[in-house]
Amino acid sequence: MIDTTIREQAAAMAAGALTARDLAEATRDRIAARDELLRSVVHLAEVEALEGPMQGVPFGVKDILDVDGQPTRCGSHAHEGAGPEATAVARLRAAGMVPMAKLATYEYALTGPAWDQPNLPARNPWSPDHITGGSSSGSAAAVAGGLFRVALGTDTGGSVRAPAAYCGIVGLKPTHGAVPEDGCFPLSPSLDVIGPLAACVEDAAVTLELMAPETRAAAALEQDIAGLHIGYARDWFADDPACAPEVVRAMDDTAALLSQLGARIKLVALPDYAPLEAAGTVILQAEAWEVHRERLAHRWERYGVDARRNLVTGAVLEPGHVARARAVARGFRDSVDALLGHCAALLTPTTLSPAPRFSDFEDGPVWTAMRTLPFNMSGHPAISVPCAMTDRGLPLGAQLVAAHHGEAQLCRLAHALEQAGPHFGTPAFGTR
Amino acid sequence: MTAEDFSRRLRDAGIPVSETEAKAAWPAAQRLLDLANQLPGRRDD
Repeated sequence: MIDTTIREQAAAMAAGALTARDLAEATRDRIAARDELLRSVVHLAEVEALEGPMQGVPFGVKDILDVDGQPTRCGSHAHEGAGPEATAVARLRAAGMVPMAKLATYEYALTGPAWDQPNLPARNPWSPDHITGGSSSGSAAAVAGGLFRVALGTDTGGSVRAPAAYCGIVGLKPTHGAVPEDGCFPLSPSLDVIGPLAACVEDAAVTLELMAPETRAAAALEQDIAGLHIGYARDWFADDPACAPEVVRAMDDTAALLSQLGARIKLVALPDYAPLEAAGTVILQAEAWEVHRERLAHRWERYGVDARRNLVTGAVLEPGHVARARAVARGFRDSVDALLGHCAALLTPTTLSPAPRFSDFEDGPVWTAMRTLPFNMSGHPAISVPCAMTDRGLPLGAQLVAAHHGEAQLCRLAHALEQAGPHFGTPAFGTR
Repeated sequence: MTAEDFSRRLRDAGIPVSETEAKAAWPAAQRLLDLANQLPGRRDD
């Protein structure tokens, strides 16, 4: 039962075919068997399941969210202690789900992989030589490695969607503000969102709906998508020199598949990408500097080298820079809103390449090309769905973006794509 | 802004950064500043 959907797990428990104890033991056994390789779990807890519709279903939590009775380290030697439980976690717990483990994160959800954190970097279940992506690194490794069906992550510039794409799972970033952010150590509050990484769209949608009922994320999963208009933003990535040819092929195939399902594909133009990434980076670094400057002043030596050097860059920014960045963000939001006035969703890749190798990071942080950060600036909900596997056996993800509070539509489309799309089995690494 | 200005700004903010590490952090800070200066809009900062 550990590999069935969380609804099926809950139904089996309601029918008496499975107990919460059985599922907890199976999860522990799997963690014991696989996580030495995956390196995703940083704290394993004994938690009693409360009564509820999802009683006993285990989940993992990125170690930047507070969970009652469990430590929060934020992947950093500079962090200790924990505050009251995050509302997002508490709502899942109230439904009977069990927060069994805290999962690895890049330090303060910022930069990685790094080797001077309290734990070694999580590994990509599809290939141990490759990173998971971040910053929800442990959440991605744990779900892709079959330890949990669902894990919570946070997404400030792509930190749910990019590791989901790199690891061949689903990553759902809700509308900004849809999930309460309390109990989550912030990185950039105007961009931060809590969202699920999951083994399938249904698991992601069900989990989001429990955390944010008003999203009704799982309400339309079974509806077909015939007649829906999809805006395919091909020019936004296909000519970028950083875009791998296999990503272009995968996205064209995904657009064709959506067309076969009855959706109407229309090429659309989004604003130039480079200024958007610049604006998002300025906002993120300015806010991260404000969040961390006091802590940096008192705990400088306890931060990892890459993290502290990254965080202090925000000190160069002036209020005028941030004001101009926010103006770019508003303009982008208006452009996307206009497109979504006559499209049910936009289609782009999540990342422009498969997961890089660990060896690519030996000389320090490496910029990796994605198409995620602008939708943190605009606040639109977005989901990454596995869409292809490269010749080297690494997953790629397609990103769908919907109107604000359009999670039901987004999950409907993603579910249709997932059901009709290619399936890649389970990774060999860590799952033998 | 120069590397020295950056280092001074960090120390003024109470960050106990060494000169060596401030220099190491400067290229990334300079790239960020370049990005910020290329943003469209009126330069009144």
